[in-house]
Amino acid sequence: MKRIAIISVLALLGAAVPVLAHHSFSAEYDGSKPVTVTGTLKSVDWRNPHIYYLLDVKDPSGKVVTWTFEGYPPNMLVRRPEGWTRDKVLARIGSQVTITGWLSRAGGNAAHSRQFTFADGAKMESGPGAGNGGPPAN
Amino acid sequence: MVQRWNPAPERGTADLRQIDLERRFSVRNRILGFTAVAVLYVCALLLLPMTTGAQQRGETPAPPAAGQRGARGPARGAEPTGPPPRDAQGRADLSGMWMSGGPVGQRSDPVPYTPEAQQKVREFQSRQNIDDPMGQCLLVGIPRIYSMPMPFKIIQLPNEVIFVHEAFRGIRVIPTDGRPHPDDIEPAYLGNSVGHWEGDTLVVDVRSFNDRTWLGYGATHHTDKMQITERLTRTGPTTISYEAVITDPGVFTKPWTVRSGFSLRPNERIREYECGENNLEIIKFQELLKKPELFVDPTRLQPRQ
Repeated sequence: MKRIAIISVLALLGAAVPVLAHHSFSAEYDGSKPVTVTGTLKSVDWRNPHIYYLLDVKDPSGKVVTWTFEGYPPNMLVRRPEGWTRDKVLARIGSQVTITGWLSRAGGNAAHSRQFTFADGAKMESGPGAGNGGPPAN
Repeated sequence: MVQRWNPAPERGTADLRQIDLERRFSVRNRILGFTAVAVLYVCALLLLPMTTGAQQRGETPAPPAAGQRGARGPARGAEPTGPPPRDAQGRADLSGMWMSGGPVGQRSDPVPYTPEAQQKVREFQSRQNIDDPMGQCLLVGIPRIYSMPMPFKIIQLPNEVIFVHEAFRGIRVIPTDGRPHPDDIEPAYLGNSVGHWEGDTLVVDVRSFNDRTWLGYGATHHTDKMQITERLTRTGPTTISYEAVITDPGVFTKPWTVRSGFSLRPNERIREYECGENNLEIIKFQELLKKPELFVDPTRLQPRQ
């Protein structure tokens, strides 16, 4: 109970919860369902309140399906120490990337992203930590 | 390629953060971390006279060199100490670009909700906090706006103090000339503020709130009877301590106190944050709510201890 109380108090201020700056993570995503997807970055919708990334992914039969990943707001991503900017991210369109994150509770090929790992090894923390500790960033 | 794996047993958020920290801070990393903090501390001490001097003279700090990131302030735990800068009136000067957080951190007492208000919290939580007004891009209120991960600028003038927040474009113009609240104030997200100085502390009385904000992420609802007394004290060259004492006879059994701190970020700038530009959550949440099986029965949620 004491632990629950501590978590509750911290959560009230957002000090220990995923910092999305905009909406509840658990309303939309399932932190117990981590997922890793590899494909080609199709597009980047660089807008507030969250960046959306589309990823073309080949399924085992060779058919291409498009995944949607939500990420940090632009204002949070550019303030991260990795130094990603709009130009640098958009320059990656067409690149191979592996994205870790957590699945949408609504189902479908949708998830909230945690980290991008590009083919050249470059990494980008694209969203907050959440869930059960599945894919850690960096 | 899509890989899904069996999740580990469900853990609390605090546990996860601990696990994350343990992963990150192996012995080697810990040694490197201490070394980095020590170096930053020495650098901060060396740079302090320049930074403080520029602030006291009202100068804009030099922008970072090309390729250098400007968002970083002094490292946590390495805050320089010394007297706060002062304005022309001799008051401690709150002016500058600030971010929430810093050495003080954020903490609060347990929320003193009435049983009825606590039940309402459980109902919100059973809906996974999908009702959070911030999810609709509505302006967040006080004190929540001081937990946003975006900077804000304080401009201290002889008879007023102005806050310009990047988050949700919140603006507060707080008179400090002794005037009372106007007679015609209407319910507002940020309420109406009047302030006065008690020594080096800015004391702000905020009232006339609407009931359309939450005080934090945890379904901390309130009523339009809420009144807040804020105290801001510039505790040093790069720090402000913040305290909000919140009363609300509509939901609280006694005043609730929230404390946090701000850190100076002289190289930050206010960026545009138009939350409503592409807020797909409004659409997605409507779809989620069509699936009641996704939400928890509120009777299964235990009262907060």
